[in-house]
Order: sequence, then structure tokens, then C-alpha cells
Amino acid sequence: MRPPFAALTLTALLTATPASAEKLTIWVVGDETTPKIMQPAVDLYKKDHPNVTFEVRAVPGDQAFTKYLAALASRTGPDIITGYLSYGIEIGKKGGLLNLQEKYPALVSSVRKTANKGILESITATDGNVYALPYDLTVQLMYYRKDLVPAPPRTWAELTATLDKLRAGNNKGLVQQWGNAGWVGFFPYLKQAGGNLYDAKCAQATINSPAGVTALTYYAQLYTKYKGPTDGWPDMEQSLENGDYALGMTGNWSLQSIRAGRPKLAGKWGITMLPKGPAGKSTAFEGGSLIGIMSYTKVPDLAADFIKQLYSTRTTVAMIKGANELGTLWLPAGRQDLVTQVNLPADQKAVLMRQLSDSDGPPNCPGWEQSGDAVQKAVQQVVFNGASPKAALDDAAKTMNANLSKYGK
Amino acid sequence: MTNHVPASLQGAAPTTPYRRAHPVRRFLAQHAPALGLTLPFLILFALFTIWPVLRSLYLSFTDYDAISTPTLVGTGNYRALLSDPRFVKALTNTAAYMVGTSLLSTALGLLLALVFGGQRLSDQIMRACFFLPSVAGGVGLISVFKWLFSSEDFGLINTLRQWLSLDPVRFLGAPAYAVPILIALGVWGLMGYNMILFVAGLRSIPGDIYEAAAIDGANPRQRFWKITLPLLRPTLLFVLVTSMIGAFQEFFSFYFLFSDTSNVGGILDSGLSLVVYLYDLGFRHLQMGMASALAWILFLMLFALTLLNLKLGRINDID
Repeated sequence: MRPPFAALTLTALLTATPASAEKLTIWVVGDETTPKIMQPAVDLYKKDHPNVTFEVRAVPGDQAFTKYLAALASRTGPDIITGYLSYGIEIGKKGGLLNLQEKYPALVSSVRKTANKGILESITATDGNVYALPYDLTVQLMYYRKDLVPAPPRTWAELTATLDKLRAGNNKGLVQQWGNAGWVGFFPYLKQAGGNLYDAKCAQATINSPAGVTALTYYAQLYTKYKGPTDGWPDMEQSLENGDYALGMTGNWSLQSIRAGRPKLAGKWGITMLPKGPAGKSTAFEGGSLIGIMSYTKVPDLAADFIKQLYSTRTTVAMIKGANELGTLWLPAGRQDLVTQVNLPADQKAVLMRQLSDSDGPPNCPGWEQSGDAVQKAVQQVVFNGASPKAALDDAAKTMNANLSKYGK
Repeated sequence: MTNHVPASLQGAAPTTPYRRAHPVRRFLAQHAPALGLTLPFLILFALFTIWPVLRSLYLSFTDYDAISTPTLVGTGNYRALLSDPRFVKALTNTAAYMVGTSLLSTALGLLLALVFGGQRLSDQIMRACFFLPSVAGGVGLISVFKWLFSSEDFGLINTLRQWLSLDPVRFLGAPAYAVPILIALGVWGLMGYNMILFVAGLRSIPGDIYEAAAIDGANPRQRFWKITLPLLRPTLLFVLVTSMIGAFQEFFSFYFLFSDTSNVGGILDSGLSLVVYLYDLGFRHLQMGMASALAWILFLMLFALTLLNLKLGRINDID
């Protein structure tokens, strides 16, 4: 054997030695707290697999997509990523993430049994493929000042009656933070009215149904008649604290941050489910993040094994407790049964669990990512320009159907 | 005219003592050391500037999602963009922002330079104060404006309105205010910088011209219009062109003031600029081909704008 070939063979043999340590690089979307939330899972896995090393890094939400694309283009970077719910199908269908349904069906099927149903539907492609699994979740809740609203509204009619009463007493009423005057804010009202963005088979948009029109008419008056603030992201906690607003709507993150950062509100605030609409549902919008394996990874089995461990009771409980110690709230999307482990007062925990059982994520229909802006525009045309809800939703449905045909092929 | 070349030499091949080297080879031989020294820069420039620019031109004619292989679509991306209402909205917003920001920041910069262009300590302090926003700009300045214009009671402008018994205004929550607020933010950040350039320009005008004009009876207004402004034209043109180009490429103020979790561009795209739309297409919707086409449209617009400015300023006529 000639020397260069001998050297190459030797190098190849050395790098392929089974005894060499395996490494998992994980990029988690969020701030610097997010790797710390995953740390208990890493520690437990390393305990069972001492030869595996980890590098867990936070990727800011607004940079995540760009960084993941750069990693895919160069085929270097993380083995595992977490990302927003749309990332799974969007990146997966283009070959950026491993098709877990195809490669690890047992893992997918075991997660299906315990995961939050709304999130599962959102991340399962219409052809049944799953490119990423639920990691964590957030859900909309209604917050209220107990001293200003003794009986929180349970229905649409009660909500408007409460707002009438509050505004008559010089209180500004309701501040909606998450999805304010946009499609995320409108989504729960659509569901509560019995409507949906698309039909069950993702064959056509149904947003312009009579239920959709009812929902948008009701939603718009929260801004036009009841003068809800329209800033992109109003400060709900501040508004509740200074008493300007007696009602607020945002995600579950405020459960922890109000307790930690608003001592003046202690004992004065509570949460309730979103009000029931004409269909008798209190459906809330739920978001969150998912976890997937990059298609170029050299250690797919190791990555899948680590992800499998994330859904074990031992690991999930350790992560929830770790988050509690960090002063944050982490809701495991893959183990909804263990959400009860979060550190909350019993009454708030009960409301949270009930709201989670009546919540839905964004649709999984082809072209939705390209259609969100059209729904946003329809909602804002009605809220800000006084357009007819039916006409605005017809326009949105047209765009959604065009995108269904374009991206559903 | 007679031919003076002897008949014996006519038609014969010219006799040269040496063969003339090829021009390229001669250039390389003459400039080898200089080329050697600049080669590292040239390689990096070609790799990180020329290649990406050419690559983006190619991608603008393709359907490319940053993961799959690009497929050629001809001029499809350009045609789609030109008929896209969001593109038109972004263009309108950007044009309004550019005109407002560049004209106001130039005019106010000149005014500040005329008022505080002296050497007194008070002038220097005022210049430092007005220059500060351009140094401490970026996200900090945007955050301050977000607080100033907040719709809630803690927003400074609404607090002042309340003291005057006026109703609060949803500055950041109404489409009509988006571009004016962006212009105010842009002007605030830029006018101090422009002031410094104008101060330098003003000091390059010889003082004896003003003295002669004053002796001839020219009043201050006449001196400004007949001496200051014409002699300041190169600075004025520079400030105007760079302000316009900067305004056309503005991203952060549009993005941080008006994008939210579910879309960029704010309410009814009232805060959507061309660069933010480019980002939206490329990095949120993975339409890299469309984003590249938009980048080239942006380049052509800026190129045309600069040519127009140079033409209008007749820069070549100014000695």
C-alpha cells in the first residue's frame, strides 16, 4: 500500500472507531433560558450514555429560520433543532428535516399517545408525514382583575356586557396582546363561532363561512366599539396592574411573569377560559415549538434516541421542575398529562388544563404559511377600514384557495 | 502623395529588434508587485462581493427555496413582484419615507449647521447634543420612540395630550401614523450627522467672499442664496444622495416598530418597506428567487436615483 493511501485508510479507521465519543449539537429557539430548560434532559441522557457529549445553544426567535437555512445550505451545524410550529412541515417537505414518520415510526406513534392533540394536528402534514415532534406549548388565556370584575365573562354576550359596564365606569375594558388585531387574535373567535380556516380535508378555505363572518363581526367590535388598544404588542401586565384595563388576553407566559414581576397585583388577579361563542366552544389558539432532526446529521439514531428520552416521565418532570426553579413556566407539548406538574396555584392549574383541552394550533394545510398575511389583511380591513366582514373574508379565501392549489400539488 | 519607402523594402516584413509582448502580459509584468499586494483583497472581494452579487442575479430568475435546487423561471419573479400589491405598498411607503427623511434631515441639518456652526463653546455643546442621536442610534433610539408614541398612558406624547385634556391617540396602532412616525425617527437620527457635514462644507467657503458681498450691500438672505447655497452644492448633493440611499435601505426602524409575531409590516402593511419585504420573502417565506428579484429592483431604483441626482446637481460643472 502506498503511503498516502495508508494514511487515508488509517485516518478513516480512527474516525470510525466505535469507542470515539459521539456528539449531539442542539439549537433551541428562544432566549438564554431555553438551553437551561433542556439541561436536565441533557444531564439525564449523559448519565445513561457517558460517551455522548452535547452542545446546546439558544437561537433568538427572529434569527432562527435564517440560521437553520444557513446550516442546511452548508450541511453543518445542529443535529437537532427546535422551532416554531410551521418549521416542521415547511423545512421537512423540502428535505431539511428527517421524515420521522418514515424513519422512526415507533417514536412518532408513542408520542401521538401523549401529545397535545391540537399541536399534533398542526405538525402532521396532510399526507400523514411527521417531520418534527411537539416540544413545548403556549395557550391563550383570559386574565382579569378580581377586584374590578367579580364574575369573569363566560360567553360572548357576557364579555360585551362586562365591557359595557366597565367602560361606563371609566375602565378601558379589554386589552388583547397575543395576536392583537391580527389572524392569531381572530382565530379563537372563529373556532368559538364554529368556523374554521379550511375544511377538514384541506380541500378549500372555509374562512368566509357564515360562522367566519359572525366571528369577524364580533371580533372587530372589540376594537371599533370597545376601543381595544391596537398597538402591535400592548403591555397587558402593566395595563392590568395600573387598573386601566380590567380584562386581558395573552399566552400562559404571563402566569409566571405577573407573579414574579407584579407584586402590586398579588391576590387581585385571576385567569379564566376564553368566552364561549355561538358554537358553545371556548377554543383558544395554541402555539409552541417542535423538535426535529436535521437531514444532514451524521448521528440520526442518537438524535432520535435523545428525542425519545425527552418524552419519558422522568425527563419531562425533571425539565418542568428545572423550569420552575428558573422561575419560568414550561409546558411539555409531548406529555400533556404531565402539565399538572407545573408550579401554579390549584385554581389556575385547573383553568389551564381545561383551556388546553379546548385549544387548537395553526392549520397544517398546504399554502397556509403563504396565506396568513391575507387573513391578517382581512381582519385589519374590517377593524381599521370598516370593510364588510363578508367581502374581506371572501378576498382572504380567494388567496387561501389559490395557495392551496399552488402548494398542494 | 508619393510613397517614400524604397521599392526594395516595399512588401517586406517589418524588421523588429524584439517581439512586442501581449498587452495583458505587459501589464502583468509592469504591475506584478502591486498586483501581488492587492491579490488577497481582490480574492476576498471577488469571493464575498462579486460572487454573491452575480449569484443573486442568477437566483432572481429562478424559483429557489434555499433548500432545493433552483429552477429557472425566466422573468417570472419580476413580473410577479410588479403585480404584487404588497410590493406596491412597500414601494409607496419607502418612497414616502425616503422623500420625507432625506429632505427634512437635509434641511434641518443645514439649518442647525448655520445656527450652531460657530466656534463658541455653546455651539460646540449644541452640536454634540444634536449629533448624539446618530451615535446612540439603532435599537436604543427605536425603543425611545416606541415609548414616546405608546398608545397607553405611559406614552409621553399621550401623557402630554392628557394634561391638555385631549384624547389619547393610537400612534403605533393606526395605519395613518406609521410613515410619519418613521420619518420623525429617521430625521431625528440623521439630522445631526448631516449638520456635521454641512459645518465642514460651510467652513470651506472663503470668508472674503462674504466680506466682498457685504461691502457690495448684500443682505444676509442674499448672501445665503447667492453665496452659501451655490458653494455648498457639492456637500448638499452628497448629503442628499447618501440620505436618500440610506432611507431606501432602512430596515431596523420599520422592523422593530411595526413587525409583530404573526407578520411584518404592521397594520395593513402601513410599516412595510422594500427591505423588510425582501426579508419577509426570503427568510420567512423561503422565496429566495423573489427576494433576489426584489433586491435587483431595489438596486436599479437606487442606481437610477443616484444618476438623476448627479444629473440635477450638475456635479461636473462645479469646480
